[in-house]
Amino acid sequence: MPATGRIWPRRLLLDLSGGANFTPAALEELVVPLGQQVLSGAAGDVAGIVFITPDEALRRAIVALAQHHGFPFFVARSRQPDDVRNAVSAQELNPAESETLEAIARHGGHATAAQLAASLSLEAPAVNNRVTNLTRLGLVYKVERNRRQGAEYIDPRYLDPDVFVVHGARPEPGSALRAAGIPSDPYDTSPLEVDGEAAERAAEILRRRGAGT
Amino acid sequence: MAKLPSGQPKSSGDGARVPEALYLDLTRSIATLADDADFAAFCCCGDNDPAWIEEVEDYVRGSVLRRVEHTLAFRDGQGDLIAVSAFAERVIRVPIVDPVAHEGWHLQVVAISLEHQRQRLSKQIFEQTFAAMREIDASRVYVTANVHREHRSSRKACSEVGIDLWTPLDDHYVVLLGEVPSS
Repeated sequence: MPATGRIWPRRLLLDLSGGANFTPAALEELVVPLGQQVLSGAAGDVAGIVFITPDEALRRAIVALAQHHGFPFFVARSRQPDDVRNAVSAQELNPAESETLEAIARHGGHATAAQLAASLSLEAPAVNNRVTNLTRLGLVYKVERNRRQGAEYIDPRYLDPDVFVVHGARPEPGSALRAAGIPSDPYDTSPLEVDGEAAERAAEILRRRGAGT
Repeated sequence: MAKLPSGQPKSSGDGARVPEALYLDLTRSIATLADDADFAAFCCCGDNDPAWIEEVEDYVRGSVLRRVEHTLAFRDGQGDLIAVSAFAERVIRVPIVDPVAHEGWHLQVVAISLEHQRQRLSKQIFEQTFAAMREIDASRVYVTANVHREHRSSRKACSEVGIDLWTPLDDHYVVLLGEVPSS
């Protein structure tokens, strides 16, 4: 994948195997905003996120965060294609959902409901329920097609990694400043109170803009 | 996405050999995590630049997409990331007016890639950042920015777009205050 003529969603691979030691706070700082952006759609047309790390404890921590927040993440040991395709869902799946995900994988990572019904020997409504649940969990991506073709369901682990992000050793905000002995927080957005000449000119701006008296 | 003003480089008009503002044909877009790979490779700090410039590069590379509510990516015709800006909501209190508190913006970062610095692109980036601010909330008048006291090019760039009222933040940084132009 992707086949020509289709618009496929993006898959994000986040490689955390660069040697950085993630504190719980740093991991949460990375994982939670990312998951929120995916769930809200702000991250664009993202079908799945696979976190990669050889560190089993780190994978467990990611799974715990994903389960707590309901994020549709997978975790894998390495970025090798086989490892990514065998990445483990962070969400707990029931046996029926696991079986369906495996069936999609056997079809090469994408299948229609009719194909799944045939391979799982199930009636269409049962398959539809399963893929609907997986889609709702964000673990399967639904590509709408015309009625004759039927919608296709995609296992994001099988997508080409359109976006590959390495999170090996990204510095924390302010770390370059602190290393130079500068304790400032240039990102502080707490309310600012101006006085003196600055206040006079600020007031003038407001009067000119009709926003204050 | 918005297309930035483009065209010929601005001429000084009088034949004087002054640096000309280069108006590149840039495209502005709201940055998302899909831009992460480009942000992670963004370079705006030279080998001998001071810590406060290194900090800006670090912030763009690793933090801004996850920490700031509004992040903009500026790309050239080839899709290369040329500049980044980001801003967040901030309340500015002016005790001598009524009401005292005013919703404004705080510029978290404005960064131009190393190879496009010293081409007077900053005004173009600021103008488009102001345009994005107006698109989000046109009622916000004030804009602030925290700038290192010795970061002359940054202070000059802010001053050129009217962000020039300053008050100390601490021994190292000042807070610059200005207005989002009404158009």
